[in-house]
Amino acid sequence: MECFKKIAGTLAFVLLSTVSIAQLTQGSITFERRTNLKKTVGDNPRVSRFLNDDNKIRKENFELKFNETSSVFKHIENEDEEDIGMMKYFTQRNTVYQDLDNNGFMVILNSWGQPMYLQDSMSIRLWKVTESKRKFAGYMCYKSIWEMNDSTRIYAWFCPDIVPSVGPEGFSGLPGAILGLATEDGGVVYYATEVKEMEVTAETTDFTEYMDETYTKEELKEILLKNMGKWIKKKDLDAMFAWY
Amino acid sequence: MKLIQLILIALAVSSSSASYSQNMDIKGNVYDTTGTLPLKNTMVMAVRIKDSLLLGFTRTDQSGAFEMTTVPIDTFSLVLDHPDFDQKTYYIFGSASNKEITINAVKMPSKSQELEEVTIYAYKDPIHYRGDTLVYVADSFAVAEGAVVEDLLKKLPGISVDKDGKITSQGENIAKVLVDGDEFFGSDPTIATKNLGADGIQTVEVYEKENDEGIGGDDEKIKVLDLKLKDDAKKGYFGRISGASDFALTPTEGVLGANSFYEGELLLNKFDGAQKISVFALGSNTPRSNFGWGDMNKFGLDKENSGGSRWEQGAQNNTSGIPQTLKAGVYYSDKFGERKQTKVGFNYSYYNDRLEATSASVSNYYLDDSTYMTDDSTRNYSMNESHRFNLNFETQLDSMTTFQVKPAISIDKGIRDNSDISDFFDRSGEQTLATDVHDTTSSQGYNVNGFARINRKFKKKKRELEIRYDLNVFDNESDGYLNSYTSYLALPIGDTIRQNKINNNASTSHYGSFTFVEPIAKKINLEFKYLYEYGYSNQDKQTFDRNTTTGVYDSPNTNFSNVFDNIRQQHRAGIKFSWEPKKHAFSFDARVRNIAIENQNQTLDTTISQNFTNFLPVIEYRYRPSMSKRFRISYRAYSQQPSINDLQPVPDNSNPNRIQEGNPDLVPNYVHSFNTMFNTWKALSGRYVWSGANFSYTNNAFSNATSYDQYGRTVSKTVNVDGNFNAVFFSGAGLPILNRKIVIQPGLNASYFRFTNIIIGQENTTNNYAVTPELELKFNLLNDSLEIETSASYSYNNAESSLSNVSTPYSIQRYSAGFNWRLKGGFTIGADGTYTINSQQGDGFYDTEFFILNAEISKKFLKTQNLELALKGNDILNQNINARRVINGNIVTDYRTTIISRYFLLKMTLRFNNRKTKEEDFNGMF
Repeated sequence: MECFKKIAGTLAFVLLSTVSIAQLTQGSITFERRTNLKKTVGDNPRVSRFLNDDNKIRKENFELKFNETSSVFKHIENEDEEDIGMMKYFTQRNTVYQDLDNNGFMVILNSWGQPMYLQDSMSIRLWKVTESKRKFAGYMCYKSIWEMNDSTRIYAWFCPDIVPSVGPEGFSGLPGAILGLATEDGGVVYYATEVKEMEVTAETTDFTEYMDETYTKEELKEILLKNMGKWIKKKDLDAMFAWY
Repeated sequence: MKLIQLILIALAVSSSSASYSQNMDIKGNVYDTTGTLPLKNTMVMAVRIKDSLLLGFTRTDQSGAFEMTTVPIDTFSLVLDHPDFDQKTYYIFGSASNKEITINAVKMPSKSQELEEVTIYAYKDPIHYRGDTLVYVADSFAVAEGAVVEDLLKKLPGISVDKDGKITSQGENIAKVLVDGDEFFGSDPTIATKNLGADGIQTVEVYEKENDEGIGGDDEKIKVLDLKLKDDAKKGYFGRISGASDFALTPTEGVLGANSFYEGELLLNKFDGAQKISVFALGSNTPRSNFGWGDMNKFGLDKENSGGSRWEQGAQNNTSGIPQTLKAGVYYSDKFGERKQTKVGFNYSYYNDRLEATSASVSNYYLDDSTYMTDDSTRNYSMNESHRFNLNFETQLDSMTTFQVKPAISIDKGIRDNSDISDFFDRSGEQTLATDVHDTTSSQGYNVNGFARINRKFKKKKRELEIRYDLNVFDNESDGYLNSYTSYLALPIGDTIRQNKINNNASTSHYGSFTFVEPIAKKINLEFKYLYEYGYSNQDKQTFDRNTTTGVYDSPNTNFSNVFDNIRQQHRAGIKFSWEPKKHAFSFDARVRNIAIENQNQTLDTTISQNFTNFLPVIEYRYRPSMSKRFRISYRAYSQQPSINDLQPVPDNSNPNRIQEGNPDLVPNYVHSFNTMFNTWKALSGRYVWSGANFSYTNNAFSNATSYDQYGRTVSKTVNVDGNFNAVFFSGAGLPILNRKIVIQPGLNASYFRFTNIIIGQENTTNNYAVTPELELKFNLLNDSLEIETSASYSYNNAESSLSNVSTPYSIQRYSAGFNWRLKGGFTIGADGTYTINSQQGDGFYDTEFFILNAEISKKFLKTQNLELALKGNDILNQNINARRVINGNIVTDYRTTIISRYFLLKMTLRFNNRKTKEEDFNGMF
């Protein structure tokens, strides 16, 4: 065991010293999102009937394309998805653009049949950076913690070697791209499975075409609460908006 | 290893007062290791020291330069990170006069040769609240390979485990230890905590639960600790077998090879989903075998249900000495049915413990007209053997109805053999009396108790009905011989007592109760409860004197013989109102109780009838402003009934120098009790503070009226007294610093007791004060492989008794330090030492100082590290003594008990399991 560790260590050192990981300023990150439905929607009795140990973890893939000033985060459609039937209604797959230059973002919410556009300035989150580190897709990341409120904490692992301060959903504001993101209870986890260097043009991350009928975060929340309040609880709405 | 350079940038760095803003200005240039090539895009971040808050970050530009102007004045670390180099950290101490900092020509260190160890961090926060449950994620707390649950508990902030295995969580007692929500081996929590492996535990959860037992008395909520097993621990087998011996190399009273110390242990667990089967056996004759607190309860001094074991004042001095223990048991639990709606649990355990204790004591009796002193030497031998069966059957009859039966049976046998040599002295120091008492008793008995209940829920949420029946049957017989000789030094005569005592003690209690909960509004519930008790106790004491000519014990001694019955009927009805708005919980329980008691002296054919109606309210308020802060205050009035031993009007002369007599006129006591508790817990920083206080005021408290003869021998009778008062204050905190590498744990406990007894017809009130500040420091160094603990405590006690006006202050100081170091190659070394100073003004042998040093070295073998060989040294300096002071009214007694001191053990442990440990198992989420 000890011996194996040494060999592994030496190997890793050799690898590191020959193929040193370069800094990335643009590229694409593939995320897998795992949602533990028992934890996120399991308290709704109408939903929990459908859940069992086999389907409680829902896996979905997203791609985050980024350059030095902007990013776009999109769901990767999966053709086999139909089999899952109504399971897909238990999670959200929104598209998020981040504009680092203007400190703003745009979310296209695909819920409830018709897209809705949320445009606002980036949320200010107070992060605590820990000494804890782990690797995602081969990149070493720092663990940091955001205390959303008294009972909920969000963990983000950011990678200083990927320069732009981007991340999945509306998360940003850390000294490097976020490669791992999770709620404390493990209800929702995003983690990078692949990081590729590639050119990302300004067109890819452009969202000006949607800018006509946008709402701010607070406005949209209010509208949803007013119109959908019968079906969606404020608590769940808050949880949904916590990602932006 | 991570290379962290510590550079303190203080006043030496260029500073100016040009700007008035409250932000700092941090500038610098970053180069490669040679200092020639500027590094672009180096990450620079400022992380506040006190709470790790990210204050700001930036990147270096083309020329390697960076500047941060958004960081407020603070003390923080400035971390620089570039993929081609090792990380570099500066610590910045910002102040108004030192807020412009320029770090010129930062040279990034080259990647160190050794790869930084990848630590796997638990995905969850190590400690968090889930509702009212405090959850510790076990893997977040590093314990040594092969550690048991108790080792893990000792690591958990806010939880402490004392040497008997008694657990407290943030100052509150843990009443039960559960495994996956179920009791494990009845009431002995140490079987779970000392035997289950820490590596099979997923989480340790602390929460409050209704107390199933103790009906008719206090149906308080109890705090439990629930060990949730890892999924992989629930499938498969695991266990441990170990043996230790000193190979008879420890001299006993100077003789080598006379006594061999040993410890042996076997534990097997086979868990398969809901089915759990465990077998354990433990045998030893070292202090490790001391019966834990769960067992003490069994022999305890419970007023309501007391059996025959309450024989002498200060009986608690028997708990230390030289033990020998064998415990063994099997445990089985499973769930059945389509929906696993039927739960069956069974366990059997066998206990056999022997204890030999030799103790010496000096007692001073402070009376208003005189002072006596006695010098006692006691040798106690006791043997207890017990078979305990516990059964639990629980089933859901339908989705709304649950039925449960939970019987428990114990069959006990005991032998006690006491020798007591006492010398009595008068005030001038002249010896007046010498006595020699030998008393042996063997007893056997059984106890059957249990309950059956049916619980029904309704369509209306929170409406609930419960009907329950409880039974408690106790029967104990004892047969004993008393042989006592007293010589009066001033007179040429002596007294001899030789008696045979046969006691039969039995009691049966039936309880029926009915509870109905009705929600009358959202968050408001009303609970109606009615309880009926019928109890019958009988105690038959027969004493026979020895016929000096025939040597047969056949002449009945009516002075010490009596047949006594106690019959009680209790009705208790209550309405409880509870209101639980967000963050608050308030409840008021108005209980009225009527109790009719008949004390029948069968021997004299007299009956004393009593009838009491009491109001017994309970008020509680809880406030939880956030998940991590809670406050509770409660008031409770309760009443306890005297034991039959305290009632039966017959003298107990098992120690003729200390005769104890019952009193059939005793009435139940009435206690007002206030409790308050506060705790706050910051999971991120690990900082916690808890504090609490209890006050109780008792009227008709059970006390003693004692009279003295001219030599200082006593006759005591249980009486009711008013105005006894207890106040206890406790507080503690844990303050981790330097990323939890050091934890500072200060604590303060204080108490005040006031109690009254009657000395020769006069009231004597004793006021006893104690205050104990303590401080503990814990260090976790070298990646948690080295742990150091140091602590100091000082306890000051002062007791004053009103009759004598004598105050007897004394103090205890304790200093301890210890370490445990896990080294490479499977070696672990550890040592701990405690230095104790007992001091008191005036005479007595209580002035003692001793230093106990223990050490251990162990090595693990095999690929799996599952075989361990250890050498342990206990009390290497051979200094251990057990010295205690007990204050009982106007008597101050200093005890010294012989206990095990130096010995060495060679111990071999083999662990086995069929589990595969998945290293990077993030709950299947990553």
